[in-house]
Amino acid sequence: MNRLLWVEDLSGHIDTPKGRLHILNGVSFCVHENECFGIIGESGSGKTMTALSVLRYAERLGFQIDAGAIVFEGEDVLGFNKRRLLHYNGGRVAVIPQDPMTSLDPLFTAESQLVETLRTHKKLTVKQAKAQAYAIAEKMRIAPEKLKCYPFQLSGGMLQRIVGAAAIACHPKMIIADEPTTALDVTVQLQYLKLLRDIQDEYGAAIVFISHDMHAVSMICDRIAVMYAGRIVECASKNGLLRNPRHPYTRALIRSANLSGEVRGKYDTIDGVPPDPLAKPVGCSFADRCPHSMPRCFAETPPKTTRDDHEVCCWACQKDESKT
Amino acid sequence: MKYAVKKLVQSAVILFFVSIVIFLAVRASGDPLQSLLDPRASDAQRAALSAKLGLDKPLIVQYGIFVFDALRGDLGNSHSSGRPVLEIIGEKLPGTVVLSIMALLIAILFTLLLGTLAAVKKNRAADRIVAVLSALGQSFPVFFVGIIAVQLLGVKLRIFPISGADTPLHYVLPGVLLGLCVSSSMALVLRNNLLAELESDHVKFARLRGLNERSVLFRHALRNSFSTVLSLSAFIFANLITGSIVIESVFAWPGIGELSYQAIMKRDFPLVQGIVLIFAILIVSLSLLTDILHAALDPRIRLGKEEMQ
Ligand SMILES: Nc1ncnc2c1ncn2[C@@H]1O[C@H](COP(=O)(O)OP(=O)(O)OP(=O)(O)O)[C@@H](O)[C@H]1O
Ligand SMILES: [Mg+2]
Repeated sequence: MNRLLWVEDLSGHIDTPKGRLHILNGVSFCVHENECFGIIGESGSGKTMTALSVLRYAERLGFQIDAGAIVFEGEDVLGFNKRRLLHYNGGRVAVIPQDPMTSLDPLFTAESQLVETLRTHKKLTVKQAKAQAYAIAEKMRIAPEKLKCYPFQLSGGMLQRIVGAAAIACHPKMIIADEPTTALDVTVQLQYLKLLRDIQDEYGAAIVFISHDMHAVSMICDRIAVMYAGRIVECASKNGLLRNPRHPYTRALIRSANLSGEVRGKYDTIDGVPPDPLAKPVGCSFADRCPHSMPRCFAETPPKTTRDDHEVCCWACQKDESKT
Repeated sequence: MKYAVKKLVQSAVILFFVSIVIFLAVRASGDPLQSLLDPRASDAQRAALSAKLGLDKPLIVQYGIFVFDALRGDLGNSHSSGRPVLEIIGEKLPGTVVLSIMALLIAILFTLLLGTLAAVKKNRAADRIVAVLSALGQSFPVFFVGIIAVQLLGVKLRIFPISGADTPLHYVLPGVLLGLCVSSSMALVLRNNLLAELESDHVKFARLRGLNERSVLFRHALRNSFSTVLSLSAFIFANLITGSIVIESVFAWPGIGELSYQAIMKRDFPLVQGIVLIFAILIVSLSLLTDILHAALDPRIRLGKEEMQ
């Protein structure tokens, strides 16, 4: 499979009045063409900031990249000039935003915002763009008359499909969906995710699906990355990760998600709290919550080790392997 | 269209209540006979004048006559000069109307220019300058700024004529001053609104869709924040009307402001009533105009929230 997006050792911070927040601390992963790649991790682990960095939007929030590279289709994304960036956003990489209720301009109809997106990236007359907008709407199961509506006249589920349509309108190579379903109720969520996968198959786009919901991620993703305190700590195929989780954090996460659905007295939770981003991380960020931590874990950052396309950053896992 | 009709009916209802308030307020302000008659006049003379002016009838009847006549376009005759009120007002109205419409347009222009500039150059020199200007505009009375402008540009430099409304050049100084004084508060409102709008989800999504900065700023952000500014029309008109009365007196402008001062001093009931009524009609129709403009910009107002599905 071809590598579409490649993020290598990405680190960055935001300066706030309280001090420097170390938000990303060496994020590495890659997304292949056509696949559905999931990023999972608890709130504040840096999932959104990773996505926004890939989109080159993070800098607008004051996020500064200290080190690392982002390569998309062999091109250096961090080196894009303004013009290339405009085409990259929306034309090559699209986003499905978290809150569909507020993500469309309230003063324009759904149709006009779709047409606007299409005409930004393709040389089309208004008439051609309208025809394409209706074709895409049909794919996303949006009734044609809904396109004539203003956002305030539509339900959350319908708006979600419309922002989805806006995202795929220009046939991007990659769609980033950052918790695209948190505003929807559960049944609509599942429908939406299925719809997204169907479209993806047809259009041949990769999806990066960001969530803290293990159920949703395991339902639609081919490969899953687990993020903790600004790093990807484990990354593997869905089955590899769910059946054979290696990082202690991943194991805890899967246990607490209770995927098998067996009835238990209480859900497992992970003791302790994630590290404060104000402190520059030394060693493994999970060390003080980890049942297997060793002195080395507190002193040195574990490097990435790969076996059978299963990547993990953990000293304990390395030790286990060397034994076998 | 439905929206316009609804607004029109609303305006009529407002005017009806305004007419009651005007009628009562004028009568509460004092006895007109005192200023019209010699203090030594006999009771018989008083009664005769009172009957002649219709002041001896019960209040409700007086009000009925006032409304009925007003609907026919007759606001009565001035007590002091005996000429029809409408005629007197008619002479002075165009000056005021032209001045305030001009000031409103200038205010909108300045608001858009200064507010957008300040927001785009946030925390930079241009933003600071706009902030200082609008603080000055709000804290210095129009009166004060008007007199300085008259002294500097009119008397010293002789660029603009300073009194009356004879040539188009006469309109420049009062129009711009009034416009500036209205826009000084509006520009800040627009700036803050625009800044919030630029960080909103829909602007973020517009950027992530790859729209260029021009579309993002003018088509999406500015339109939304200007629409919010327009929804403050009541506040804008309060500024405009109070400002125009002051400006008229500074520039000896032949308008309603000057006329109303005289009418109140003479307790000329019909004239005061007429002026206040005309003012009310002016404000109501101007705000009707902005409301319709606002509705043209914002579908949520045009279509009404109740059409939600
Ligand atoms: N604009 C900002 N200014 C300062 N800090 C920020 C900003 N945005 C995010 N952060 C911080 O960056 C860290 C990572 O945030 P991010 O939004 O990427 O987390 P996330 O994994 O997406 O969490 P969630 O699941 O809650 O969406 C958090 O500690 C957050 O407080
Ligand atoms: Mg997030």
